[in-house]
Amino acid sequence: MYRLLALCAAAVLLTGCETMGTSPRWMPTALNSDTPYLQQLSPEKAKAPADDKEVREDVRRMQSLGLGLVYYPELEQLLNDELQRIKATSGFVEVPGRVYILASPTMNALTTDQGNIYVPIGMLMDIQSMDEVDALLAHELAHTVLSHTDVDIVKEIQKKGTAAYGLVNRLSMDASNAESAARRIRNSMALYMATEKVISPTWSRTQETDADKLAVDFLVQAGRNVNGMTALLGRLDQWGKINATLHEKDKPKQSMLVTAASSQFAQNEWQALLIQAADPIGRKIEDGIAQAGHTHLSSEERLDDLNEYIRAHYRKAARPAMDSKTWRKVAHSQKSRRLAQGVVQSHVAFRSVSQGKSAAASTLLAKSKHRDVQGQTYYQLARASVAEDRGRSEEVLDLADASAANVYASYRLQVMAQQAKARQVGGKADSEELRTLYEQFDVYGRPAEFYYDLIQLADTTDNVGLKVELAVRCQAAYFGDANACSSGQKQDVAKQEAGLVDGLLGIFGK
Amino acid sequence: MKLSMKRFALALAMAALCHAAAAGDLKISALAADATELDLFSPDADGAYLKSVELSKLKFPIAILEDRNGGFIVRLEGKKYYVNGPDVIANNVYKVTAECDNAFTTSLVGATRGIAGKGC
Repeated sequence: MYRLLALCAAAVLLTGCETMGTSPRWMPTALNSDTPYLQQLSPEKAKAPADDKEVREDVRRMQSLGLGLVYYPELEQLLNDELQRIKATSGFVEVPGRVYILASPTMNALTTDQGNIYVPIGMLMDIQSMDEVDALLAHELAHTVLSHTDVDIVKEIQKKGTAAYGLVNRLSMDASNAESAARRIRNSMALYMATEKVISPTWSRTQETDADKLAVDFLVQAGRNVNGMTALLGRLDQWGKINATLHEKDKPKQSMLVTAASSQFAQNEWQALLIQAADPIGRKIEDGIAQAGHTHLSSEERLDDLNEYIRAHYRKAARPAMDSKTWRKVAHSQKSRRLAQGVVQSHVAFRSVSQGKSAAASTLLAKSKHRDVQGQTYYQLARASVAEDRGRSEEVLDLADASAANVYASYRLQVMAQQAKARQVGGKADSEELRTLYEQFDVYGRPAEFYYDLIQLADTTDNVGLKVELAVRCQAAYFGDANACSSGQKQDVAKQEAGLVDGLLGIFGK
Repeated sequence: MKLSMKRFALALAMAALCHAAAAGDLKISALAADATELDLFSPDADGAYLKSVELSKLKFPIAILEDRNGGFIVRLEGKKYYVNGPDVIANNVYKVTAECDNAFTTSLVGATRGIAGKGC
């Protein structure tokens, strides 16, 4: 009983007191599986596109996250034509959003608040037919139609995650007080993992299965084979199994802490410190939460659930031949393979730099140099990270210059350029140029992970106004988490965190 | 020129053999746990539903002639049919080359969890 109360109290504390947003007007209050989901919705009432400015900011924010976006108009066009076709045949033509290709070697496609769909190039290389890619797009569109990204509680959890992520990145660059930093990382990550793995799966479980089911309705409407979804979930299941093996084999390296830090060029000694911080308490919490988190649905369970739905509504519907030819012609072309390979190598190079192996990173990048790849932002970013690590400021500036005209330019390169310029003149940033960089920050949707870089640059100038403005906005972005925006830690914040961590350890066992 | 043609023909023959061998290894060992019938569809482009066959009339293992990514082509009573992947237990494995990384999804606000959940 006490545990349940403690969990509820932690949930309220961690997520705030906001409730779920109201359902959009094209949706009933609850969906039931007795009737196809699409028949329960009213597409004609679907809302017109979101604010144009917000949509643009959303894309720019994604351009600056990790290795950003891949510029590949042919494949992007094919994906968007398909998305449009699904929207048109299901009646949801007014639903906003376009498809973009993430420069990521993973399989985790996602949808943002603005209805944009981001698909990793690694996933596109594994998908085998138009029916399978339509299943993916239909699933992501279903999230937007079902308004899953509008749920306040999910946003609050994600804000906490961003705060923890930002804190790890920030502390990885501030080596003045190792012991305090380790404690703060541990506390912050405990809060994040608790919200993420305990509270959020309850929502995501229903969200994912609902999106799967509505996606099947969309597929049938679009004249595709429902087994496109079977193949997609089968592939995700296989991916999950491979990952689970890797995870068990190399637990410390798979830690979210280390991943978060290493993606931001953490220094070598900080890798060690992060592992130390996560172990043993952080790992114990993570394991405890994993055991308690049985609510998370596996791909296999999702497939069973979906098959029941298909049997109930589409058992005798036609299973038209899947279109592999159109898909492979574009998505598995030589250019696609080169771009995908370039993403993998840039990714590895990025990690190598964070592990102090910039020579290996440089060799790897030289190997993947090709006219299709060298103008891509992800490749330029990886090269700039090597140059930065080797203190070659001029090269960083050249790469930032070359990348500025890219369709999917990254804010990260602009920040790196400003830092390189400051290094060239003894560490002091130019106040005017910093102001321009800060204005660009708004254009790029204020990706929170750059607050620390901007604050650090502002600290080298006499621009007090900018420093104050950044500090205030940073605190707001990090959900009032002072840790992410200042180097010191206030006593009351420390006490509050320590109390929550103790509570969580009580719930999941010491 | 003659040599290249020979090489090309040899490569084609090897590719055909490999494909046949790969499909030849695939088998359906049973119906899915809760199924009592196997639904059969046309293997042609339209994929129309044709009929359902009772479990008692099926003989396992059933060789898979072609893996159609989510469904299979099989031969029953001398005719080719398309069957749904989830309706049967088969030894097919979905090809996956994508890697695992958390760097993207850990810093998003106002986004879905991602189709694969939180990943790795």
